[in-house]
Amino acid sequence: MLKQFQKPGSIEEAVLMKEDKGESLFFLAGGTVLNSRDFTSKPDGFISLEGLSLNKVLTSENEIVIGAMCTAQELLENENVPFPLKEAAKRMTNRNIRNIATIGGNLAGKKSNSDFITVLMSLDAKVEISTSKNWKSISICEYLSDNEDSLITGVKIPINYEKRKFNSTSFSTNSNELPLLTVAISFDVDGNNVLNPVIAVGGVTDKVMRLQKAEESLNGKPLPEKDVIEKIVSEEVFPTSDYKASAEFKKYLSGVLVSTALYDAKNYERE
Amino acid sequence: MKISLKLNGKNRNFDITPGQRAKELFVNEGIISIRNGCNGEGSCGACTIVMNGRTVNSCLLLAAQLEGKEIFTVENLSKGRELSTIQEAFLDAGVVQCGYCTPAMVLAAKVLLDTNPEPTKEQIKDAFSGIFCRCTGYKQYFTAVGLASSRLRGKEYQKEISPEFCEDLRVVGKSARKVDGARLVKGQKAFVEDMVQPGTLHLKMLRTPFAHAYIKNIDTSEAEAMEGVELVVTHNNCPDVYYNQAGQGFPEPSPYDRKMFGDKVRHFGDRVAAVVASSEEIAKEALEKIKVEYEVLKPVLTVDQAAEEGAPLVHNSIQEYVVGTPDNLDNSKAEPRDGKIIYQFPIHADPLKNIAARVSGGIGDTEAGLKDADVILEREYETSQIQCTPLEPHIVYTRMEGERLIMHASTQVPWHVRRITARVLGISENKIRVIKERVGGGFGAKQDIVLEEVAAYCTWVTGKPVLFRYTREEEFIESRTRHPMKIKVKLGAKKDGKITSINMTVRANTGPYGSHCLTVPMNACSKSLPLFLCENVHFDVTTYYSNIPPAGAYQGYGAPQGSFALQMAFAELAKELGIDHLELLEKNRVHDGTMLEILKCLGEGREGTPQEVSSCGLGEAISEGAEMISWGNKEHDLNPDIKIGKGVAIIQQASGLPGLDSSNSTITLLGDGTFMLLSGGADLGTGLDTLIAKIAAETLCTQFEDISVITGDTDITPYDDGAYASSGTFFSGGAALNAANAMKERIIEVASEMLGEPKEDIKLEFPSKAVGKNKSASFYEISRYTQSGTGSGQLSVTRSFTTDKAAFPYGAHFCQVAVNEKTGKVKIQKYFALQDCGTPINPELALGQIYGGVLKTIGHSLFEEMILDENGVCLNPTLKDYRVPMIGDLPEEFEAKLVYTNDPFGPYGGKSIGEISCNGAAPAIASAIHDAVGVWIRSWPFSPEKILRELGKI
Repeated sequence: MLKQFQKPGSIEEAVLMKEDKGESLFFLAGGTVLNSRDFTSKPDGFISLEGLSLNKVLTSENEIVIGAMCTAQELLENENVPFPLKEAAKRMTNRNIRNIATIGGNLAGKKSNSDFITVLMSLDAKVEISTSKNWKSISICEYLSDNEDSLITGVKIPINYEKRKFNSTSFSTNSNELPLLTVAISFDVDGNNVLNPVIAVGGVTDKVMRLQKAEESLNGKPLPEKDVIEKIVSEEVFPTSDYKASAEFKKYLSGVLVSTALYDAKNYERE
Repeated sequence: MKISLKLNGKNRNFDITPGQRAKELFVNEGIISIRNGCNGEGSCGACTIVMNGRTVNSCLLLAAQLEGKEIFTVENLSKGRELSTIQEAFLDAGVVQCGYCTPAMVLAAKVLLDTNPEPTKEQIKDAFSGIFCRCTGYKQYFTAVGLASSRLRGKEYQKEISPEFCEDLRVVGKSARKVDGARLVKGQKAFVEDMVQPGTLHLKMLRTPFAHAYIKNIDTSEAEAMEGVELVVTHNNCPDVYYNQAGQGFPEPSPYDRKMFGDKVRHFGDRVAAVVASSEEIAKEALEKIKVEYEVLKPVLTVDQAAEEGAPLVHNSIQEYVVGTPDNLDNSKAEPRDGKIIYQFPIHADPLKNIAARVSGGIGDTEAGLKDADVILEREYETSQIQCTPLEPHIVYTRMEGERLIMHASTQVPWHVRRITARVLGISENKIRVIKERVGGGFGAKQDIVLEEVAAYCTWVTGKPVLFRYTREEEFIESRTRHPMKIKVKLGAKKDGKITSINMTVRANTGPYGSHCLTVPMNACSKSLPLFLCENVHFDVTTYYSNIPPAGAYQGYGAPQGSFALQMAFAELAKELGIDHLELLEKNRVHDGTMLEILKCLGEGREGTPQEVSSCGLGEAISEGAEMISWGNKEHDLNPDIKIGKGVAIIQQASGLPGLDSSNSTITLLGDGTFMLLSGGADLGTGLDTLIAKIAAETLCTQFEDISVITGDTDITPYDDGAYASSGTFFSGGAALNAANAMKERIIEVASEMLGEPKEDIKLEFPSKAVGKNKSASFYEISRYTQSGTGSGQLSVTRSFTTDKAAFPYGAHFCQVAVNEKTGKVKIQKYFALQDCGTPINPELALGQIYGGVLKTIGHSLFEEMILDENGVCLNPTLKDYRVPMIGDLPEEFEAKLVYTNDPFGPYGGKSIGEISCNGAAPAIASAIHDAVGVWIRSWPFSPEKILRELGKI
């Protein structure tokens, strides 16, 4: 039974509350996960982040900073939000959820099939984290490896994302299902060559992963044929079977989604 | 802690606890429109509220999060008795069926139109994207929003809201707002959960973690000793009465193979003990204190496993027969702990081989037909286990009133609930009153008595009110599902496509108990074989017991499985013969006047009767559908990975069960010339109450509004078998027509006396008068005359409807799919459902039935499936994981069309529409997939993985 509901007025107050009570209190963003009946952990209380003014999108010369409490729907409606992130927001299951689920909450969940995380990874975004002692800005990969239960205050996206080719996709069987697989890619183009590719895939292991071998093999060359990319990708992922799909299917599909995303991005002319 | 918020326009302060749910706060405030379909999983949207101008699932909110927010619920939408524009539009468009999701949908429409007065189709889809509606198929929500948008802007809606039929009639064949629509669209008290009084006890069920086991020992002492626990029921203290939960006419073909609690559990989640306590929390806590020792047995999960030599026996029971005991009955090897099976009459069961029921029959000589054939095709098709998923889970509220038991039930079969409960409790039927409240979706799952008798027993024993409501998981593991089947079809045909022989072999899986075990699998044959003209037809049906979650009735009742198999076999045969699929169907299909000889072998547990096709709109349905989809034209996509294909299926159902079903209606003339119509019919959202009111109003030449309807109350209304087998229009409607005609005669008799003119010279005229050659009398005057103390007394008539005549609805479904060869994903680009339901008495509601049936079965075809592990545990018992169709899953182009025929036996020419539209999607989509990518997918669902495997990609 939940015994506390704290509503701090500042980031400092929030992190102090958390450090004071440790694991017994959880930070609460929108609540789509923590308030769901199928959330199995039983914290003593919540620290609501609603009063921290973390629902803003700020742009500067070099970056766009998105507050952790921005909901998916707010991202869709904000003209300053990078379009790849809007695409991920749009794919979130449905309107009622988008109206309340936040980008920070989604990051905190570290779900393997998170569309936001794959997209942010491909955008080379940084996660802004606060503790009582410091404030840091770390890459998505570092964040996913970080076991600290810190407060996410926002994500920072370099403005140069606009110069890169980008694409993302996810695979679900029906419209209200959480994705089975998520894919986001980005790369620079030099003539016909792909440079500095980032390939992020979700749903194939316990967290979203970058396919570093695939990135290396594609770097500095024109894109190979689709079936070659499919093979490279599927050799780098080792999903497990579950009731939704077999490992074999996920492995194969990862290759197809990545190759399609790369090719579509290459042909993609942004308005 | 204290919070302040603005609730429905008023500033309010509340004292709450930190963990209190937002919904609890609203319910405490008397806001009941916020429903619950997923137990707080956040996947159904039935609990939608508007928070700061945005729709959110309130089940995902704590009350503490409401601080400073502005909350709007549907209670604040209409002023007084007046409906808002949006609510009116919902009713006019026919989108209100069961009504359980309606308040949520109304709020989504309001927010959408507040922010976007002229939304696009995509914006409408997005607004409703989080709200699950199992009834309507979503399509008419686009009309409802368009209509509301136009009216709010003071414009005229330019599109057709609904087609109209029968120019010579006033209300039949025309749109009218549902008689129960206003309360549903306003979110008012309507469902069982709204009737529960304070002080009611809560019932929770302890369920077995094993799919097959004996209970060796059970210790309930600790639970019984708990403060607040009123009663614990187990196999040790429950009634020693065998019964079946199937709501079928007595004597039922379903075997009496269970007690309320048994020594043996037969599926994961089977009942072990019921705890009744003063709160849900105490009841749950008490469940944890019950100690059970099991002797675990190997489960049997498939028909193949069940049929294996030496397979574990699900029912090694003592068999008894009420009539027709077989000469060779041998109970010597029965295991007493398995209990008994009592058969009302033989259904050719053999529990020692796990066979729950068998039937076979045919006409002509199929072997001779095969010899005569140029081509023989034999295929096997498989269907998976599908959950009905009514948005409102099973629920019952039982209480005592004096010495009588009152049951507020969400049921399709109030009279069967009363009969079965009386049997289980060992009391007479006059001691029980069943009140069918509004039903938040049934689809067959609520044709069975799956929880009612337990709550009734607990109330009868304790004398106290009891509420028993399933969780969504319980709905999956102990409610009712579509029987999984394996169906072999063997066809013989001449080169020109003329069918010479049809053989169907059905093996069905009924699960742990034999609910509908004979009739559902048999229906796979009886609603598919009579579509074709063939002199040599044979069928074999065997139903097996197993340890999967219980199967039972589900909209279509076996016909979707049979239709899938037979229609697919025809599609494959067409390919084999090199004949156009549609041409093959046309060559072999039934017509008006065809005598269906096969039906003499397809009675429900008794001899059937051959029937003549009294009306058939198949020809028109096929030709119109073919034109709509440009049949024969190959379509191409710009993306080379996408292949497009087209498919078709022809379908049929029946209108109730002639010779088995019966319905009754009573009409009474009230003092001011209006009428009260009482019917046993159980409207589960389909519009049956509206239909019978229309029939009565039409017949009695009175205003539709002058007929008030009460239905489904065993104390007040006369008997009706209930809402199943697509019987509503034909049987309940037929009874209303008979009663209205009888009332018409009585009015004319009295008018003759009043006016001094012969009866032959008097007729009824609209509005509400009896007109003779010289004089006339209004119904008001007639009523006053009869109630004056000198006349005949109040006019009130009761009439029955029984018949041996059948009225078959027909249809043709066409679809166009786009299959991505790289991912295996199927997108339905076009779906056209053309349905002959005779005279569509409620056209807009009939369309809603079609859209709903089609979308349900698109779900079954593409992604719905209960997945069990090797221990029989359902791995996806939630709406989210099971994958129900949402508005985002609609075909890009989706049209239902009503093909008018005038059936000679149906009321005003009407035939059924409730189930038939579930029969077309699977075969139409599967044949379209073949047309697109050249592979036959012969099992549900047609998942991307299955398609890729067939394509050899993985």
